[in-house]
Amino acid sequence: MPKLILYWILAGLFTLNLARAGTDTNDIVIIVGKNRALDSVTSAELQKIFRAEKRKGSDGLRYVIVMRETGAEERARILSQLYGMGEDDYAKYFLQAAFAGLVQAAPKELSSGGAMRQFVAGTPGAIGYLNVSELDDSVKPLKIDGKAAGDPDYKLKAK
Amino acid sequence: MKKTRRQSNLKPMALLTLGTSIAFGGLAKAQTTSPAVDGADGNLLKQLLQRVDSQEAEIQSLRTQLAGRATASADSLPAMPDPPKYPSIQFHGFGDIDYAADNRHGLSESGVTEIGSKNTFFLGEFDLFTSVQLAEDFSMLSELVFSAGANNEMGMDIERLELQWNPNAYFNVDAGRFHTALGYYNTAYHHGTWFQNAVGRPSFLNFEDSGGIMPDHMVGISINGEIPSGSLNLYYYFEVGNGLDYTTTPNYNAVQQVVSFSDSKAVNVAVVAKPDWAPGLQIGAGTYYDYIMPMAAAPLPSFNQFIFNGHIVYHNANWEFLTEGFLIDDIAVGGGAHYSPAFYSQLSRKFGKLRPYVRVTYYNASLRDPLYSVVWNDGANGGLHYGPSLGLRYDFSTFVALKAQYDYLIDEGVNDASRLTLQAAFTF
Repeated sequence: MPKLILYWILAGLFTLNLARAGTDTNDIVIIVGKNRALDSVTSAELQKIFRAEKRKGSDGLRYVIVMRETGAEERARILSQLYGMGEDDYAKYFLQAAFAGLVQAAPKELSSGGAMRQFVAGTPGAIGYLNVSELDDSVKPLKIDGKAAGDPDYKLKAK
Repeated sequence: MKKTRRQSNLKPMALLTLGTSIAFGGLAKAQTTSPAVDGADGNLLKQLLQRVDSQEAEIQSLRTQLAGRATASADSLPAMPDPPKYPSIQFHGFGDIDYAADNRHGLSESGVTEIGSKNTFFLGEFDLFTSVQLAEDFSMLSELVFSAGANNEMGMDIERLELQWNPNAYFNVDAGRFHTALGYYNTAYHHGTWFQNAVGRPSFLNFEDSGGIMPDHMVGISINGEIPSGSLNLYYYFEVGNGLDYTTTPNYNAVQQVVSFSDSKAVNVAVVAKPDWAPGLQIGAGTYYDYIMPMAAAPLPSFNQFIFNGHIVYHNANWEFLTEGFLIDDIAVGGGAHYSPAFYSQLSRKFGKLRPYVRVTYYNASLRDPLYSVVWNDGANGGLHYGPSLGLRYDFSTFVALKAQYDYLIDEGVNDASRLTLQAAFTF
């Protein structure tokens, strides 16, 4: 009998772990500096920030957008789920934004989650993103529409 | 960070391994050599000391290598970001090379088109764009454009030169020569044809020195920003500048960038909505006003000019729909009003690297209005002008686009004509 109980507990834990692996560990999380007075954004605000249409936060800091390098899975998902663009359209969009005087240049690109964390942690106004599995306490994850990574209906959920 | 931790764990392990190998190696050596060196303790001791020395040197060498690897690993991580440095300068260039053929005849040099021959290869514009961040809230941008006119002489214009102050989202100031916020196309597209899906602008929005009838450029001040409006996302533009010079004097730049012949300034007000609930949709309306004192051989009255305009634009990843309408209302001082309507609609859809498009353009510059029938562009723009355009854009690479466009042109006073334009547009 105790063996049966132990079997069921182990089976439950295994199933729970599988479920978590399937839904949470690939969510993309938006990150800002740990001390920034910003905890949550709406989907519409987030799109405006990453499209450089909203240049400053309510704390007065100018947003410094940071992207992962071309080819990174996280970048492909942000382009698809946040910008609704492919690589060529993204390049054209920021050239046009520079031409219109909205930005000076396309966002900075970094080649790893660690580099992203380090840059966002050390740059006032920086905003970037990570796979949730790369999150640590050096940066602050933002809720989107009041939902955190792992919640049902989270905007940047793994597909 | 992970690499560094792994390497720091490796170091004691390596030392432990080396120490163990010294100990066991030494013992083994002692056991195997001791029979042969009995009675020669001095020699054995000397050999053992040499062995210890060489292995210590090896340990030291490995330590140095490990330290080097740790430093290299730290170097490969991005350095902590530096504070922003000003001025920070960015350059881009745009250009296009074209070929056009049409069956129009009897066209004067200052006619309604830029091309006075049956078919020609021609250089479009070469646009050097500079953007400089001068301080956190100050920036400047400029467009220096080289292009040749109908006389084949290459000329250079500063098409935009703006000093921008952006203290917050609600209040931004641009001063200098900028594109008047007159509808959508004139604000979204400047001189780089690479940005536009079509080979050129709708004819009535052509630049002032290229046959257009709108005040595309203004020298003055633009104040613009967001209007707190929730999900409606309203933006405003309030612009004051010199307006255009309406004169029949040849080779006169209509944009009054140094001398203004009127003390009355042109004023432009526009409001644009980009609602959250309809991503990609933009709706806008505006009014431009100028007091115009035209200069012509025959005396003409002054005019109060109003240009009313509205636009609806929709973009998503594949579709583009643009439509704009304008009504020019020139009211002669002491006389009547003359209305000149203009509009265009453009629809395109992207299929991979291909984007076919269709555009319809129409304008009717009142022949009763001396500003258009006599003064502006020697009267060449007076009357009815319309026609459809069909085109195809092919994005050969991210920064090179090839375009082909067919226009059927109906322009008052000249024969109806077909025109084919091929364009290679690029940016860097």
